[in-house]
Amino acid sequence: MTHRPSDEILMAYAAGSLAQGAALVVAAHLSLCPDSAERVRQFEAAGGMALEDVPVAEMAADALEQVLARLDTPSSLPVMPQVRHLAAMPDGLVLPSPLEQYDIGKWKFLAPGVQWSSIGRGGAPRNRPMLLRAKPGMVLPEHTHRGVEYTLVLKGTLHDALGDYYPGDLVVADASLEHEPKAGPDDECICLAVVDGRLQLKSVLGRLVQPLLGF
Amino acid sequence: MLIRLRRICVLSGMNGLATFTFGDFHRIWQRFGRGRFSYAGTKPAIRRTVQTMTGPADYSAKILRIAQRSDKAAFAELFGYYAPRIKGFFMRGGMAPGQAEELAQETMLMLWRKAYLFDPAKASASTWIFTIARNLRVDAIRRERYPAAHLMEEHEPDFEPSPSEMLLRLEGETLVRTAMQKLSPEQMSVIQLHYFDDKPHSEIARTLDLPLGTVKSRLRLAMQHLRNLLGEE
Repeated sequence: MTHRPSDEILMAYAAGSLAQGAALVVAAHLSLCPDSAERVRQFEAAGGMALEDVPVAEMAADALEQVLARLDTPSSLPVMPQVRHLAAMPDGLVLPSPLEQYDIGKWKFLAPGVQWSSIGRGGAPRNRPMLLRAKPGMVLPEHTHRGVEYTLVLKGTLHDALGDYYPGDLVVADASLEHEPKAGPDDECICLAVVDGRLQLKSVLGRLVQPLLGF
Repeated sequence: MLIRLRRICVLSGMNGLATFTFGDFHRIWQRFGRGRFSYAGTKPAIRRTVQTMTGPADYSAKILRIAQRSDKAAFAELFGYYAPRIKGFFMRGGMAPGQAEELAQETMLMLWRKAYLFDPAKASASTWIFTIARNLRVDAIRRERYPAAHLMEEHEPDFEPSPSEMLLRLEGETLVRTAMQKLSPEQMSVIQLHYFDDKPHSEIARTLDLPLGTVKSRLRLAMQHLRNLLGEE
């Protein structure tokens, strides 16, 4: 695995300060990349130390009593809403486990040879993660960013001016980068992507689909 | 030095060796050059003492006692040590005292209910409890689940980690501990503020009374230093 998120991103994820959509894409990446997962465990251990180190704040006088009284009452666990996965996946593709608890919409047209599917319902539509599915050799819609774009390859390969990306690779592109990722020539490519911040689709086609996506 | 400061905690429910007044503590804090920023609202409620020598491993054993025997005495001890820290952690992140109190209680309740998922081969007690607190904080602020549950996943309860595996994991955490201690207090505080307290660069600049560029470069260097200490993954 060559393309991994920076320590800064993994630290933000471990600390709980990474945006929700980006955190989901990173969580999916961690389920595929033991090196990144180990790094997150290290940063979580740093979180454990930070917890020991924090200036303490005295609890209410009856706090322990109150909590002890609640220990034996069975938890009213929130019933997990039924999730629906409407987008059909090609044979052999198992979605990373962090996606299991999210609704996944139907495949929809995005550009010739490219489909997309929305994930989850929370948050602003433009910051919602999505699945992208591109036929072999197809270019994903060109866009410039005002935010940071996270793209995790799940199937096939993805290529841009900076490199070649394989399943499990996470490409993080910030505003300084204008990249044009393209699916490999032999296989269709499926990615999990999210934009943290505002996205501007740039091409004419982009301008056409922008209102449809609600960016 | 940090480690020594870290040994300072509330007296309530514990056999303290010596009690510092806040003034004593504040002087020490100042002397180590960490007194330039304060955390609004936390000071008056704080009583501090030098912690008795209870190691992290003891807290792991207490969580296991809850899992195996629903041991309420073990829970009370964990509560005495961790609840005021969890509340302090939430307040550092900008949460109002009332909500921080409530959420700290929820975190402890979650610890009780999820104790059977705790795997001492994967994480220390502090690390595991930190992830519970972190997730509850995100859930409360964003009203959406934080997608980070890897330390809350089911594991084989009968499968006891071998002593060598335990040692390996503890060594992993010791590596992180040693690395964090080697950071300068300035580097440590920007990492704390930016990542764990979720403060934007501009606010850190105001809090520490530093130019924005200095904050950004200090943070970059702090992460670089940490990366060098931990080694490339």
